Amino acid sequence: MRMQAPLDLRGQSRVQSGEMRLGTWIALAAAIGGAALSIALLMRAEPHAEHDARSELTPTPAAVHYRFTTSPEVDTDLPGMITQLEERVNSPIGSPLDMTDLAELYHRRALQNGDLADYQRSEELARKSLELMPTHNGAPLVLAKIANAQHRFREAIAIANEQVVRKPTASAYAILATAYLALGELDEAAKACDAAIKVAPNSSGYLMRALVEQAQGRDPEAAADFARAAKVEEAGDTQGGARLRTLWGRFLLRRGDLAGAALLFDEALRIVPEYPLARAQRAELALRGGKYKEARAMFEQAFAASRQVRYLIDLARAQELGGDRAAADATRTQVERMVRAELEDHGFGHQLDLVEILVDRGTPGDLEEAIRLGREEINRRPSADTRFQLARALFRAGKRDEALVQVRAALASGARDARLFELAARLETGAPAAKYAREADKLDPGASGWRKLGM
Amino acid sequence: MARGFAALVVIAALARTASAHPLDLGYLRVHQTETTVAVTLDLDAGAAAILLHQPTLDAAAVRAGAATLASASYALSPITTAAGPCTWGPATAELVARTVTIASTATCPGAGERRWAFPFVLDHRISTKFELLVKEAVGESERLTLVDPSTTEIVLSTASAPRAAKSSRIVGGVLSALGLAAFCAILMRWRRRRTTSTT
Repeated sequence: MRMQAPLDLRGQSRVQSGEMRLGTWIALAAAIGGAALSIALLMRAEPHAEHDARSELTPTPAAVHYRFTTSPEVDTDLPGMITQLEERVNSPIGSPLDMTDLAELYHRRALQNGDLADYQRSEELARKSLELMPTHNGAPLVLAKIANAQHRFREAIAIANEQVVRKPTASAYAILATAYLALGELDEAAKACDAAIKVAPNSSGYLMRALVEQAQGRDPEAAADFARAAKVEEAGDTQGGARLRTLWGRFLLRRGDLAGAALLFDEALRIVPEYPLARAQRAELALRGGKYKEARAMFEQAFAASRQVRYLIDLARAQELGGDRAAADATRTQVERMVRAELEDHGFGHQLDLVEILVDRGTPGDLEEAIRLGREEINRRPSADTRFQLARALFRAGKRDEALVQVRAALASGARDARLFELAARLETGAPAAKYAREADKLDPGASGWRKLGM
Repeated sequence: MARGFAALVVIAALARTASAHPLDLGYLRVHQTETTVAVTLDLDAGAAAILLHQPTLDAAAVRAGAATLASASYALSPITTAAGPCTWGPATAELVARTVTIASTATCPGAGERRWAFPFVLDHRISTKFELLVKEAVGESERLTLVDPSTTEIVLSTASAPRAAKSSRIVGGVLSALGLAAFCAILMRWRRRRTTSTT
């Protein structure tokens, strides 16, 4: 027994030692595993849909590629041209037609930089030119363009129609197409586009027609016209090249073709790396893919580069989807202040933005005001988007029947948008509801929650 | 004409993508640590030209005027703390498209409350409508504050460093794991003792 005890003790000691070693290994494994788990949790990618969703609308890389130099130096020197023409207009040899040309250049610059002073200068010059030379003068078209920019669409249409009677130019038809598209009168817009292309089959004409076809839900035709616009584009307009691809990509994004959209946004950003619209659309793509942080950063970049309030509204959406409701509400409060100040100043342009902010925030008071403003906006501009925002406000306020009227009217225009289908699915019942839910899923693959926000 | 047409297209197409004109606004991004305040101000080139008293700007003029731009805008008034004002470091500025970006970092005597006035907004140095949107990183979140001519000063959020917060979470995770390991070791020791006493 005495002999056994040490043996037992030794055996016990071996067991103890083995258990100690086992304990140490378990402890070590737990430490490594725990650390790895915590790091993995921190570093994990946010949920996102794959960007490999393609469709029959997806263009080839060759069709998307911008074949000219992307150096901004090749672009038209607009400030230089303005300076030269200003000198001429102010000299004794300056003519009313020079004034019209200068008005056109100021208008073009106003569109690029949004400077209200440029709009004012453009309008002053056009009116002065018209006073001096009431006929055979393109100044009325400049005034029509300014009217469009200021959302006085009926006035723009009246001026452009007068000009078409006198001389049917592509520019006059373009003004008509722009105004009708904004008003949601898509058949008239399509006719104006066809007429413009007949006069001048250029890139901007095809782009305009593609946008009208997109609004009508004629997707194959729209895809073909976007491609035509890229095919016939000319050198010397990098901004135009980036803009075309961004709008084309936005079309694909809205149709759930994420891969095609990514291809186009990347190309747009290759042409003009800081192009805010392309950056914002890239952010939208990230948002739909559940990459909220990335989306937030890119919306912010787009805003910083452009100071467009639109991108702050989108930033708030990204913040909310990313789970930061407090930041989203704070952003909306600041945006609301800015938009209200703008509306007081100019009285046009941002009303639908305000409706959107109010509906997104969605307090009873907000919704009441959103409905009132939305109805006013419908009278001015009954487009599918206006109807959608009003319908959203009505739906959130519990006025389902009225909301359904607006949704059906928007759908009848040919609008195809995941958010609109989502709302339709919630408002309709039975088979139509199921159909719209399927459509919404098709256009918005993945489960980012993007399209359900603010409903 | 074609270009004019293209521009018109934008108005129609972007009516809901971006407004027809940008806001008369500067965008100031603020990132704080315990001892520093790093800022980046984005201004329209026209606004920057006004601050530099020049009719137009090019990239070289913007680079050369960095210090003037900073001292005429956000650095016109120092950030103040209970321990004294923060000191601005050198500024950089660059022009990209129509945006001028001015950046610099202030060093502060302590981490307490920081107050900041913006006389260049108050005094309408750029325009009567000009406003400043200030974005602060607050932990993992962010806070936006609109500074208009009626805003005398803002109080910055308590200094935070998201990176540090992230690191501390990693350290926290590792410590938790070590705690779990220690618990396992104690459990094994307890089991061993129990086995020994049973034997």
